[in-house]
Amino acid sequence: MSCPIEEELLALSLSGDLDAEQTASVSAHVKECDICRNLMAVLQLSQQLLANTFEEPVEEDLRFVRIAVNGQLASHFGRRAWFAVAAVAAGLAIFLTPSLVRRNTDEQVHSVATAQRHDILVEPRTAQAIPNLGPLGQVHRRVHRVVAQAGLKTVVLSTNVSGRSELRMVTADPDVLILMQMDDNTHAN
Amino acid sequence: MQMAIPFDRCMFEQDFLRRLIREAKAGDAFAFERIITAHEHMVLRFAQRILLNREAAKDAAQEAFLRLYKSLREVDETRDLSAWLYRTTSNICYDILRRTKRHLSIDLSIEPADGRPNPEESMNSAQQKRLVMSALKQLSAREREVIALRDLEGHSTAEVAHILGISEGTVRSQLSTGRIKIKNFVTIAARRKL
Repeated sequence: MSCPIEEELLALSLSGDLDAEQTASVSAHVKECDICRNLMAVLQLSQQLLANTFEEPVEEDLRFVRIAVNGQLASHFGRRAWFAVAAVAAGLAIFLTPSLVRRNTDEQVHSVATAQRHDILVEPRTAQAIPNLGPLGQVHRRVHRVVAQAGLKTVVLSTNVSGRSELRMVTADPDVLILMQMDDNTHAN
Repeated sequence: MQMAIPFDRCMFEQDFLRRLIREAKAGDAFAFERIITAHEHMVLRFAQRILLNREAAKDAAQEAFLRLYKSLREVDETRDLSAWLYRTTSNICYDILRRTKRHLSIDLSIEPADGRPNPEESMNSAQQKRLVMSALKQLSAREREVIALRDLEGHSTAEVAHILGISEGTVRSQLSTGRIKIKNFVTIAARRKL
């Protein structure tokens, strides 16, 4: 290009990326110079083509990304565990209602200070660990503190449990099975 | 420098986003999911425009959100999250391009085919698309990023500089070089056709 105006300036003038002096200079030159006017026209055309080429991402692709990310984060965030915890909480409310009713009479004898800890175990359904829960420790017939620890979250529920109980729950996630055992030492010992 | 917030992303929306970030930091999975939903268009679109490949763009977008999750504690909720996501997506795309060493094929299916009843018009559109994509492929990764952010995403030169962590002068330089390369490619293609 033999013009005094550099092509770079023409390219930048498209988006107002020049200072006032440069803008005025380019503008005045383009009016006089056929070569630069043609160059500007092609630059503008290529900008239009560029703008018309791309569309917004399609929903199918967005959904793919969403599912992939959520799937990978499930274990980090303890999302499955949250399903589990929510299910346990709901299950406990139904399952232990008779015990809660009975608590009124037991409370005078048992206190929270003697509470023992129980874990709600959340295991992958495929894991071999489910049948081997290990020793649950001795649990006396008194107020139990039930601790649901799943992933990043811990939920503590306090209730009365009488006798040996076992609660199995299948969550919305087919890979997660919740198995909760509450032992009473009348059975354990 | 804080990026200018577009008018439609008003204070209410920004406050809501800050709240979501705080909640996500505290471990709320649903808050994080809403952050993804609010930015998924932007991240995937930007990745598509740099990589020119639909599948690779999906991978890049996925990785960007996973990195966001891993870096959530370091993310300052008082600043615009979009800039962070653009920068991260840009880095991921750069890695993909370097790894694939330009072997990444151009994917014309990024453009939906519906809504173009005229076959001739459809063909012209596909040809134009192929032309522009081939032109973009001639650009360096940095030039493509600058063009994508400035000409396609509509950010100002200062915002592009902030997002990419480079000077405004470098943005202008990459921008003019990129535009001229595209223009030259289009000119040559037009001459060949004639």
